[in-house]
Amino acid sequence: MIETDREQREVSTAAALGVFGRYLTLWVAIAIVVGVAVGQWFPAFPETLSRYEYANVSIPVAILIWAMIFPMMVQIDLGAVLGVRREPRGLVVTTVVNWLIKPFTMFAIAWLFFMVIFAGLIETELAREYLAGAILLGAAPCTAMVFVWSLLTRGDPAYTLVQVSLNDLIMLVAFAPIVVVLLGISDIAVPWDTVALSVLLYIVIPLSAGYAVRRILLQRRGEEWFNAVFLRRIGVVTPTGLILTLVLLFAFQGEVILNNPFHIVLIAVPLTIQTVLIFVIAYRWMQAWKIRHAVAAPGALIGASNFFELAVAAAIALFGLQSGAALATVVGVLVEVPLMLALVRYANRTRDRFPAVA
Amino acid sequence: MAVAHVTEPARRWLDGRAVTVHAALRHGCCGGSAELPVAGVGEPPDQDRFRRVAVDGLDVFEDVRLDELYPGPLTVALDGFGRWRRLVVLEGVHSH
Repeated sequence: MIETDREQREVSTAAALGVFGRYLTLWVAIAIVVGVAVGQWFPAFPETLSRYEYANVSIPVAILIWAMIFPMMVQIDLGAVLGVRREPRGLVVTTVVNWLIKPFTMFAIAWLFFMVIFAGLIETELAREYLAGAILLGAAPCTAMVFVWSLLTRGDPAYTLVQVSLNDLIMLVAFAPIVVVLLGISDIAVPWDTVALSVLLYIVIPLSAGYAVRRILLQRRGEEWFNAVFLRRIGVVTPTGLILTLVLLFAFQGEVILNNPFHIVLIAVPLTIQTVLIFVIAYRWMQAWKIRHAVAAPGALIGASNFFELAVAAAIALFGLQSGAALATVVGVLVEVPLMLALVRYANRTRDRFPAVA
Repeated sequence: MAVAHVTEPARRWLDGRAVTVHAALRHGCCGGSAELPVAGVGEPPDQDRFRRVAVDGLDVFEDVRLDELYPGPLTVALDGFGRWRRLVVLEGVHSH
């Protein structure tokens, strides 16, 4: 039983997000411009890189995506999942919303906009690729940024650790089947083995490598060194990998962007609606169940946000760097920070609607 | 940040050993990061950043970097079962 709750004090957005996170939309926009410019003026560069392939997997892209994902995977404490018994109702809500609701609402909203409402604005084939990108985003809930959203809403850090570890374990088994089913419903044929290869390359291998490196370093250098020194040193790897991947991706996307610059706005519409809807469903459900705010806020934000690196990686692996699916996943990154910060502000303003103690 | 309480199961499991509550950095996918309070058994090798306090009869080393981020009281509790038991840090004062 909780006898008293902590003092409420909001954490500065600037401190939690850092310069890169605060201006992520700007960096992504710059990466789009630089990538398109490279593709137009130095076409030999992406063409040369695209030759380095093995089993239809682009080696440069795989390296960049591993660079993005590994720092997140190495910090995952899978042992934290043992804490599921503590305040399980919050985990029930986030698990149901993340895996039984979110992928399907994403599919429905994206289908409605890309195939019906925007039918006159986007060619059918391209619309289908955008739908595929949205499906990949919907099947990959946030795995790391939720630590930041949790900090900004004064969420319970121990609960967030449990939530992330449980989410990652479910993702290992649920991502591929959900993607295959929803792409199948959309008449987008993707071979099972290609989806399985994406899961192997961009979830199983980084997660296993991260687990092994974490164990070795904890045994040799101790937990305090791992958390205070090692994780601080590798902090720059993920954003660097993200920006380089986007530059490379847009070097291939030049024609699509130059021919249809307005498509970025069109793609952002269903992604924004989905983000807000999922947050509202989880947040209101937590409120109805009288779950304390320190659990409700991060619990609602984990589903609203996405594991963009996985979605981008899977889109590239399944549909290619030039695909509309890859573009749709990147638009998710573009709108992520401003949208999530708006939800964080809403969560902080409505704190008094939730019980302070369990 | 102040560790206000070490729960009874955690105290029994620790059996007199010291506890260190330190800042664990977690990176977000999009460049953000957050410091979480994490508890470990024993004294920190480098005690410069730590404040030593006595809580419920145990030596607790508190990472001063957590003071600003977690201004309220914290509880060190025990999670898991069997050989997979581990210390966790909860915000607020918890009885178990």
